[in-house]
Amino acid sequence: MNIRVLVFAHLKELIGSGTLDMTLDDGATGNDLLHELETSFPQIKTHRKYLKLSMNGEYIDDKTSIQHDAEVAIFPPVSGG
Amino acid sequence: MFEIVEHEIDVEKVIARVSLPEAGAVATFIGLTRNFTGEMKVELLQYEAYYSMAIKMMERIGLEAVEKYDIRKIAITHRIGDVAVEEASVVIAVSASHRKPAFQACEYAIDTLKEIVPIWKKESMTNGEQKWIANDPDLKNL
Repeated sequence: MNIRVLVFAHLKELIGSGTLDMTLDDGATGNDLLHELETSFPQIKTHRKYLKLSMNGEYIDDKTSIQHDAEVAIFPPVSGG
Repeated sequence: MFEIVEHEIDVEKVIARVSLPEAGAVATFIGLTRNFTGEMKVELLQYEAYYSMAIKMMERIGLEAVEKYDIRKIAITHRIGDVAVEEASVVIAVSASHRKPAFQACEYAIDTLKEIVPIWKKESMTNGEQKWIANDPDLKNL
């Protein structure tokens, strides 16, 4: 499946773009998504374990299956306030 | 009641949103850009938001605050973009019949905002250095 992923903050700077088009196997999980991201962008390797995932505006863990039509985002730990 | 703005926050306006005749107390929290981080002199903070999710999480904090504490209304405004020293990045106002739950809900709201609302800040120092910040002290080096 093809999905569009939003990325933010430090991760966006490391990758050089705020959106990514990615191809994943059907039934792929958050972990698969992070693995794919790391393969395409090795520079994020040291950050991977801190990254947060969301789907349709809700936090998900790396075992959650990614839906092909969902809005998926990956970002560093938040620092608002 | 929950908004993200790209300009200076009008504190009075945030307070006005929660005011009502039954409220005997309004507690506010104002988060500001501080001039020093350790030894480093800060010029400004740059904030970025995942807008739709940030609003959703702020609304959730509001609902939870009303469930947990005996309060009337809560409003949260977060600013994004450049926020200079002494300017406000976030304003929270909570109204209640009495002061105690207003204070408690205000503290709950800012603590939870810092944990779950997808907004990030980057510090720009006067010496030209820039650094993304993590609220979690264990993640200082990100």
